[in-house]
Amino acid sequence: MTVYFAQRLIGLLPVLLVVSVVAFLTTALVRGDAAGVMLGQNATPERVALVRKRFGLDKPLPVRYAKWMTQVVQGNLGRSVLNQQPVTSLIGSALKVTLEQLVLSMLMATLIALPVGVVAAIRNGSWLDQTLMGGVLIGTSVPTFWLGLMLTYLFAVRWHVLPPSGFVPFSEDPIQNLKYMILPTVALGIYLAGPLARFVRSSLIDTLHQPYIVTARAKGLHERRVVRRHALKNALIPTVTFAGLQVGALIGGAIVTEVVFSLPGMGSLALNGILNRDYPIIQGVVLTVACGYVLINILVDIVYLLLDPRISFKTSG
Amino acid sequence: MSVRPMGLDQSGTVVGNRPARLSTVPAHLWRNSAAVFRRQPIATVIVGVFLLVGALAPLIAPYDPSKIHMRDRLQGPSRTYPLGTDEYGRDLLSRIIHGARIAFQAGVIAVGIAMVGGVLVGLIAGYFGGGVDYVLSRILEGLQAFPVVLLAIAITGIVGPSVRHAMIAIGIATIPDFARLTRGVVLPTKQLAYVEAARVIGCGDARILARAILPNCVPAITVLLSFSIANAILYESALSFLGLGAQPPQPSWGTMLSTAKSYMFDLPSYTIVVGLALSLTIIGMNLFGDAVREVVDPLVKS
Amino acid sequence: MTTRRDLLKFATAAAGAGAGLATLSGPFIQGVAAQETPKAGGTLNVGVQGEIKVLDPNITTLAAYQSTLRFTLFETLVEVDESLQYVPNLADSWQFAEDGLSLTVTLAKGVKFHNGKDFTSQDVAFTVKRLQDPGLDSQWKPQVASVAAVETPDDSTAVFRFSAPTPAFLENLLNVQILTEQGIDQIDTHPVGTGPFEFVEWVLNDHITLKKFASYRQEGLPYLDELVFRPLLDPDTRLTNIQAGSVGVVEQPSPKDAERIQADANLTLLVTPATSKYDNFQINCTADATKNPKVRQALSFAFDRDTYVNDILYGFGKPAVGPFSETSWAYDAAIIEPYLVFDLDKAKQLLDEAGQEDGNRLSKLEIMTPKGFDEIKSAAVLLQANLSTIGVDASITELELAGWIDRLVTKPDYEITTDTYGYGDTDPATVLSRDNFAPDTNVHLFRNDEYKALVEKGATTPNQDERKQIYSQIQRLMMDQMPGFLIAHRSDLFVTRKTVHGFNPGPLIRHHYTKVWTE
Repeated sequence: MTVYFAQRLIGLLPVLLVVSVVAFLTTALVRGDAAGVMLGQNATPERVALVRKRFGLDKPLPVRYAKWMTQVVQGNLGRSVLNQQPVTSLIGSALKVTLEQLVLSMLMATLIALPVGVVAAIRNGSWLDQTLMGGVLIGTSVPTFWLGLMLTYLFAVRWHVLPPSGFVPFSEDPIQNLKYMILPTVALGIYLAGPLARFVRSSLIDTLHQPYIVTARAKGLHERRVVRRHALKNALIPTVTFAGLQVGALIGGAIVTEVVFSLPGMGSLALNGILNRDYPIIQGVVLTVACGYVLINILVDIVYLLLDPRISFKTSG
Repeated sequence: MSVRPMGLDQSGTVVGNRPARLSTVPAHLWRNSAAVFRRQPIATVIVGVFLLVGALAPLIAPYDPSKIHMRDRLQGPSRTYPLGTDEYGRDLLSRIIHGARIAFQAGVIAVGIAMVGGVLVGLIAGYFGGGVDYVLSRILEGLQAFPVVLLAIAITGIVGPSVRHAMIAIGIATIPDFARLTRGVVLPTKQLAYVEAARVIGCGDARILARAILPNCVPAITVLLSFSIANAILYESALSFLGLGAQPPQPSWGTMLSTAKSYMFDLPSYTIVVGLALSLTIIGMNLFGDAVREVVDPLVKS
Repeated sequence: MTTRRDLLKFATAAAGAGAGLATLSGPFIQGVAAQETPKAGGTLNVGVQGEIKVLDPNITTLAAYQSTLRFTLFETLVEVDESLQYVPNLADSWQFAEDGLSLTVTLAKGVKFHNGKDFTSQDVAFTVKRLQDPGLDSQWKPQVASVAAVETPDDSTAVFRFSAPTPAFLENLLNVQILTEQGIDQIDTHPVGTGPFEFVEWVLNDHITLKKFASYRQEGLPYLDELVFRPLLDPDTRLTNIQAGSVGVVEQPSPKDAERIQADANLTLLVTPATSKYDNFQINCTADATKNPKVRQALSFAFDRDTYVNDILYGFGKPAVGPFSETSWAYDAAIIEPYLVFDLDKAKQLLDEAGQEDGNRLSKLEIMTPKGFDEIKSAAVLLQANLSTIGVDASITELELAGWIDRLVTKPDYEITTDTYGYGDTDPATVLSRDNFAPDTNVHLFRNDEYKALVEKGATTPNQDERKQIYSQIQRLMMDQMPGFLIAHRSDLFVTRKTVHGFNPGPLIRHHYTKVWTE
């Protein structure tokens, strides 16, 4: 078990290496660079060359990559080409926003998915079951950005109840912060609720067919007690791990929500980094996201294994 | 970011209380199609309409989707323009119809790439195991860790924005889903008796893969197919919404939405109509995928 | 549509006949009450259209820099007032020599830089030297191209010596932000000037904060304690933000929202005259598809300027084709007007002729357009639609800024692109010194000896009548060759909340916040 964990952890390194190289390469191959962006459309090739030199963009690729890697290993993600701000601080503030968005959205998704999944499982096969599952599936199918637009239109533009876009850190003004986060949370939460509800439902259904549940019923326990006491707990644990999986995928997909709601999270940071060809930022973000994703994967796998030793333990490699 | 089918964890291993089993390839396609229709009649119809409209777009659309009628711009639904007009006076119904075609292409191309690439990788990784599997799995993990949108931005940044390039990006990003799924089926399958027997007889690896193992993967792949197409359509619209996909005057639903949002106050029907078309298509495909899964893997249903 | 047209009429009401800058004078701001007493203090949030990408004023020409730092952190020797007369700023007075070969400037006293250093003539000399530095290759070098030397007889006097008479020099000075040598090595992280606001911080993609410069040379100014610029790239976001009150000033709302803004009791719409800012098409004169001047002329005739101005700009602009605005003394109506028409037949004919000359007729064209500029993107769509009726299959490529600049400039690889432009230039020499028209460096890759000679002559001839003749020749040449063409001169739109007073970018669109105050 520890061996597996160690193996997976070591497996993190090649993944990060691949990701960093890919990120670096694409930055290099993409047309245009920060120098052109700084100068504007009245630049000439000569001017671009001068600005490149000034901001250290003229060194050959492998040199820049090597320099960057040595910095990373020391925990320094470099500085933005545009304004010399340390990338770590930029990622720090962006990460807070994204994490808040994710946590709140997962909470919202759970608030929807749990009752829906439970009821659907209990009334398995019924019309209610079908409607509920259909409902959450619709929620997942509607594009988040469109849902976000419609929500913004209603609540911000038409009814002026909530602000249309923007962000204030929680530490600065908690109430205002939550106001800004409501719409994106709802949009994302609805999207996440679908798969989560189905997972709750199916794992609860499975648990309800377990021998020990049948025994509990045979003993004469009330249905509700059966469900609550025994089934639910066991059904929830895989649900949590499943939720963890979704989070991993979600970090990458947050860009669109952040664009629609103008949230200064990791997605916006990455997008702007690419638009400005600010490669230290791009590298830093991609690396952080990849790290997070792989770590969560490892965690989830471990939890799965701990939970049910009966699951076939496939060592990959 | 895909809706994962039940019964498989993210690394492709079969989980839950289901023992690894040899699932039967649906013997009668027609019978199963009817079963799918019975389960989700509306969704099947939606999918059918979508495919038909997409395929026949130039024949069905009342107007040329690029024809500009500046005098008639930004109108709501009317007799002349059933769904209204956009900011250049182009007929929205025609544009939405052609948008179905773009969405259809996006789905097919993206998923085509993902399926071919993914199944191949999954087969190889699962069958040969060992170091090959380790390396491939790490690469897959790395690919999945790279957010789709960033990949799309990178690709379009290199080769220029267009629907085709966006589809390639989506396709590449979806490869891991198919790969892991395939690998997850290959792993238990290759341990089965008849595969062992084939090897003993002296069948080559390629033959075994193609004849014995691949058919086993078909049900799972079929299920993933529908969801992946729905996802691809969703992603294409998101990328076009961000400006990385279709270029003007191509009527991708995503690009239309990105413009429509500027006119939300003046003409909300613009956003609503396009958004509905997009949502209905994706909903239809997802529900259809649900029905397919229920038919293909009866265990899930109960 | 009536409301907007009325606005426009009102805006250019006083732009009557007459030579000189005064033609542009007249009231151009509607609804700003100037009666209340200014209140000191407070923070103003401004929503800007783009983001700055660098802090050095000498190396960037990005519009975002104009909107934010150029006129707040820094000052120029002279300024212009509302009637476009030159007024003292960092210079108290000035005198051109009889022969036009030198300009003696007496500098204001008691001026300090943000880092405490006193302002002297040395700083003027340094600024010019830096602009001319080939190692910097500043895009603003043309402003001081003709300055051979800057003498500093004493701390308060600077003498510019020109290599040739430069009648437009005062206008050039409007874009020479005075810098000081002390601390110049930190220009990329902490720029320093003499302006009413000093730099506090630039948080990437989020905001730029400036604070009141306590030792500013004008007593009691600026009124504001803090000035914060927020990039809000999307015009709808800008509008919703100012409606919600989270910003006090916003630039470039979408023209289609003008009516709604005027109907809002909390907001004021400011419209500048359509003279110094323009939208245009830039054409690569060396590309196969577009190297024949007839093709380029055809493209200009194939563009429907009236539809563009009325339906896309909602009337906030004027059709144009040549570089000079109608109100400019250099504008030659006889030469320009024949080209200001929308004539698809003529375009087709020209394309056919060019096709016969070259052996193949234009059938495909790639039109580039930068992301984030909706109006000129519409221009591309309009051109594409019109071209499709005369046998040209045009495609549009929308690129984000970095990619666009790369294909336009760094490794020129384009056929035609839309563009929008505006530095508040009025003198024809200044207009032609920009990289849209500069003989040696223009983006069209148009290199023509006759053009170059004429441009230089126009810039160095003191007599205005002679200059007018030269510029007529230039306009004739440009119409014949059509290296690129304008489609409209545009008005700039600004929105302020009624609680914000004193915001007045002027007809040359210089974003000053010195006299701005909030309730």
